[in-house]
Amino acid sequence: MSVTSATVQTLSANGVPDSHQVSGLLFVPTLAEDDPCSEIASIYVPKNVTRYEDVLAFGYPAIGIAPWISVECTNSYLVASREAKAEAMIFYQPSTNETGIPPPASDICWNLNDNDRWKQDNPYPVYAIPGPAATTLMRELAWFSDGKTNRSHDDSYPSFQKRDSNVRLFTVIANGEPPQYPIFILTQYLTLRTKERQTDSTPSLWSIVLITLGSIFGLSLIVYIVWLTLQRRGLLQPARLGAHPQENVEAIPMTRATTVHVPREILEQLPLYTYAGPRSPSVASLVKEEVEADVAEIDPSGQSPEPPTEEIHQELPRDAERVVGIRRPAPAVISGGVVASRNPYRLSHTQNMCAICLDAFVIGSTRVRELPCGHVFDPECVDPWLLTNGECPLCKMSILASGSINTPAA
Amino acid sequence: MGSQKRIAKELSELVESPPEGIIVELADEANLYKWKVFMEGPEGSPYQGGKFIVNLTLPTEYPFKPPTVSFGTKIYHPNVTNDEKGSMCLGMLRADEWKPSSKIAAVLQFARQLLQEPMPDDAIEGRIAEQYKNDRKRYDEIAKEWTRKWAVSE
Repeated sequence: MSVTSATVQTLSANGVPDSHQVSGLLFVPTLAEDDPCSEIASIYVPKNVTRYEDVLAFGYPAIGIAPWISVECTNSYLVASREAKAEAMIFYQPSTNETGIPPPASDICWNLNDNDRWKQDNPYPVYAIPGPAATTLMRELAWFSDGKTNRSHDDSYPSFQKRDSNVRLFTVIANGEPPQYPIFILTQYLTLRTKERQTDSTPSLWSIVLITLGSIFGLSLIVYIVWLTLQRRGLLQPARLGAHPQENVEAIPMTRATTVHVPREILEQLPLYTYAGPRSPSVASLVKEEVEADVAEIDPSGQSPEPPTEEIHQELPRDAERVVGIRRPAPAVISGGVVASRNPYRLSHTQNMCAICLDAFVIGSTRVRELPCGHVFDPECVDPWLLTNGECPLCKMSILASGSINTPAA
Repeated sequence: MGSQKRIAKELSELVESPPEGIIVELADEANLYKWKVFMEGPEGSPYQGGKFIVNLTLPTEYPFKPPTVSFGTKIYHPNVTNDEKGSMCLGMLRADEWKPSSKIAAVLQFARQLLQEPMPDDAIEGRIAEQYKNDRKRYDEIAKEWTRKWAVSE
């Protein structure tokens, strides 16, 4: 037989002590002689079972235990317990074989058809324990009589049971360490860890842990998102400038506080190609190594909004563009209200030198960086500038202008 | 040094083909970053006939940072401080408006244009700006007088 905290159901929490611990000696409330329930209950309650008078002498709190047979009988037991000023009351369904936790208080089997008024009327907590365990308990409560009745004698029980025929077996329901009862009282422990205790203490501990963990997680998430946003907007320095091999330390602008710079990962997405000069197919062939995979990305048919009469003029630049294969993840990376991306080269036609160092671009050999506005520069000139200042050195168009550039797709 | 290369380029360009009314030279032959500019007062302005010395200082971060312009010659102008510094406040020279592609020639031409047409709404000398707007005649007189007094070498 075992009754553990896991199998004690709270039916009424009325009058639960602050400590949520209920302990005491078990007794079976005595019903009135004329109560028909005495008869009915006799099949579950042995005649010489421990009664209130038996536990009274010890001065310990008393806890009633009784089978839940019918509405009438339960009420009789409740009244009897109340009169005995029991510390608590324990019921069990004698007819069930369920060894698990009894049904919750709301279950129909605990209904006394009085809208639970009984819970208020009885100023003590009421619990339910599994039927089989309670049946054993009930039997054991009757094992020791005052000698007038037969008792089942089991040799496996401690020998002191035999010492004195007046000794009674009491059952103590207690929580935690056994109280110091006289040695001749065989104590049987029931851990009555009540439902209230579970909801009040254990779960609250868990709540604290969960709330703490939740808060930490939430905070970290917020910090991470803020950090990401700042980095994406270029408000944080993404990388040490010194890491750039072509860095001209002197060329680093110092106006960080006032301007928004371009994060390096976005900078690296800006097209970088070999300057092919204004409309020069022969030159374009020099830089054929650039073509490869990029050709597929450029759809010539989508590039000429001009009427067909312009076709002849359009051909050369388009060819050059295909050959040069401007690395333009443009459709994905550059979009929106920017003049950009439709016709690469549109401004490199007019630019023959880097506006920063004033060096002329060498056709077919100078690598140039094209900004979304179409202006091209030596990457070693414009990159350090953009890393600290997000605007085109020529037209001051913002590289990060209103969503014109998204974060590169991996 | 990238900045020196560019500055040298600009200097040689300006020496070879100087803009109207502007002559440049290095204040110190060994220092590319300090220029001495002789600016003629624009015709039709009260500064006409005067030759103003303008000091142009380039930061080592040039062209990523703007040059500074100050008048070595005293001048009566709403956009030039009326002190021994003679600082000129040019919008294009402010850190947030500066473009690395702007060249010194453009800066100097802009400065000279400012002699022709002061910008009283962006003034550094509020009193002169008020006078320029409300008592143009008096402003012209004083500016002319100052020009004759300080900017005309006998």
